[in-house]
Amino acid sequence: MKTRIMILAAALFFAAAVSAEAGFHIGLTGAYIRPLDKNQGGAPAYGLSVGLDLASNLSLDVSVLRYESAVTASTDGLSAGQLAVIPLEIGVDARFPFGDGKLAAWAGVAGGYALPQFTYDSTAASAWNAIGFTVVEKVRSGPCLGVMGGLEYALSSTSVLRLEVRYRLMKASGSWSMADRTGGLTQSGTLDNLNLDTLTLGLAVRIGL
Amino acid sequence: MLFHPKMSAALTRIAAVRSVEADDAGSLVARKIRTDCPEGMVRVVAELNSPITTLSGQAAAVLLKVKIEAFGGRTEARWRNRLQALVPIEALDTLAADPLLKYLRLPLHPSKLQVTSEGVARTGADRWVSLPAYRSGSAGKICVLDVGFMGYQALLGTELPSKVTARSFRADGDIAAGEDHGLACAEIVHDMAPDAALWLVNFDTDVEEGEAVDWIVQQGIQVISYSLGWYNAGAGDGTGPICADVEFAAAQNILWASAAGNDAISHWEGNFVDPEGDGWLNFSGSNRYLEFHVPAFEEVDVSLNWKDWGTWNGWDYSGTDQDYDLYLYLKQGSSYVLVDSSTNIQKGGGQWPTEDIYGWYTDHDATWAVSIQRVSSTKSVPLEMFIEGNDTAIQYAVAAHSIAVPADSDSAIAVGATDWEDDSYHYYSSQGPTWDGRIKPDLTAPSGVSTATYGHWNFYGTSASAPHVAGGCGLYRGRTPFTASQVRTLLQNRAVDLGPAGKDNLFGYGRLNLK
Repeated sequence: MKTRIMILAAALFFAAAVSAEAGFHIGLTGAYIRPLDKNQGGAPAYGLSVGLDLASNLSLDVSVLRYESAVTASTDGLSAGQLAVIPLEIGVDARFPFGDGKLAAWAGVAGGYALPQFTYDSTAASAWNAIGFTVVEKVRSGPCLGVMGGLEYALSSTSVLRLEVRYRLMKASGSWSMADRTGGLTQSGTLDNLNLDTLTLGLAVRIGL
Repeated sequence: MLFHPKMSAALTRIAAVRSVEADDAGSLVARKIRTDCPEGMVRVVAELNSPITTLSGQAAAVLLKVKIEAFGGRTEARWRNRLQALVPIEALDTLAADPLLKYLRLPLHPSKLQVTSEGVARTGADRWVSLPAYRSGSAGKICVLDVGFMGYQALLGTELPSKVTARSFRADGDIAAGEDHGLACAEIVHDMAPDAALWLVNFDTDVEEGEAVDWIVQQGIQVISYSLGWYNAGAGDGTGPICADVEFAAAQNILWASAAGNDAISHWEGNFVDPEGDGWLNFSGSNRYLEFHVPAFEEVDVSLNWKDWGTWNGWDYSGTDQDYDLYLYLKQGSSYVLVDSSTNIQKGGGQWPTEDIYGWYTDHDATWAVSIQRVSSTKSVPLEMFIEGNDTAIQYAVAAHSIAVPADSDSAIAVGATDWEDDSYHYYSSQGPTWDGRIKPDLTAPSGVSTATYGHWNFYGTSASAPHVAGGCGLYRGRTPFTASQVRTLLQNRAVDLGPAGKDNLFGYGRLNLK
């Protein structure tokens, strides 16, 4: 599923690139991510994007972002630790210039795949490890979907500054296990319906190539 | 900083900081050294030159009270030559210089003298203190099921959790029941698993125990600590009404840590041998008496059963038609004086194959003896006897099969006793196998440990060992996601193997090990 989506996204991007009249652009993003699950803390995020101008006010972007948020333990969800997430998305957005054209509103949708990685709290892991137990918790990757919008300001003829608000839907599942190394006994379970939804407030610079 | 000769160093420090820093600096220092400091004042004890019971002492106390009030302070209590008062920090120097005073100091406070079982460190339970719970759902819930918890209220918040649930199933509802045995066990459980919730439940009879176990199951208890044993309450093969209680609890995923018994030197077994054909069992050669020594005022209990209990149907045995009787004697000189007998009739009407005599004692150390008489028998069956009250090994003692009911239950974790210091076997600790051939005990745990109830290094017996295992089970259940049956596997996998390699009838899988 994951591979198919990625292949489809890549094919879409290159098909558009071949048929496009305008050029490419690249972007750098810095953001603050606020997970909607109260047990996940807010965190800074960094990312890049490569885009294709499909028309003067329409672009197709492939973006990647990374953030790592501190997780506090919950009964049904993750244990205490660090959750690093890399959403890999392809999206389309449209610009709506106003005034003298330097300022524009924009909006778009994006979809893709989120690659989460959970690390169980290192202090707790060490403590369990010291008495012969290994604790492992994993979150599986899954699809994500986002809607975004914001304002864009043209810094020059080839560069723009974008203010972005993005709501990203990500549902994931995972697993946990505790293993006794002395006798090989393991207890394990699944983590269902993990909520990785986030709200992002970001600032991006796009440079036309 | 200058030290006032009549003021303690701690008070001097408070006064000095107040004089050179902000108004509340002295209060901050006072708080740092854990001193009461209400309303910007410090609680002090003024030692007078003479007791208040004397005229000069009383006059000094009155004058000092007036002076303290003039400073804005107030006196709180007085006893002999000591006056307790709240004094503004800025007045400390002046007050200390007063000739009415001999010395000004902070009040003394008592320390709670806590006693921790040495078994905590021995088993590695201390290493669990800093461990966070991992997907356990809740902290451990452990019940100490025993005969009495006399004085438990005094240990709340120190040797026991600050809050426990206590419930008596005795007919008289008395949780104390004149016994502190359960209290000592509860102390060990709390030492092992300090954050586990504790239930203290007592009973006196088999029927009351059944009711208690029903209630315990309803409470969602995860572990039962059971430092009790029964005689003539089962065939020794894991069947019987008491073992049924254990099985019922285990079916509800409750771990039952049961003392293996202290009967290795108080147990005899053998077949009925009567070469003379006089109807009396010969314990050895022509000797029909089995002797044992009992200290003054120690109660003598003797329990005889023979292995013809019939079929256990879940609530009763089909019974026996083999009939033996039991006789108790007091040895005087070289003769035996009959004291009591137990002559239950066994004729195949569902009667249990048991005889018991109990409650006898003397006001001096004495040698007692028992004899067994055959009334009617058609087959040879092993006989077994448990004696209580003896201070040394009984004559002809047989350690094998001395596991107490219900430690013989397959569902119980039978716990033998080893020394907390060196893991050596404690001579009295009951040994397996069970009468159906299973190896028991399952584990051993420290004994001879310290408790507030029994004192320093003074709690001996498998009664002390079982709560260590119960506490260990509580740690697993309260801090890990392992199920009850998995915890049993963990206990055996991690035990420190003692004696012959593998599970054996003295040490089971070995000594409890949580690290």
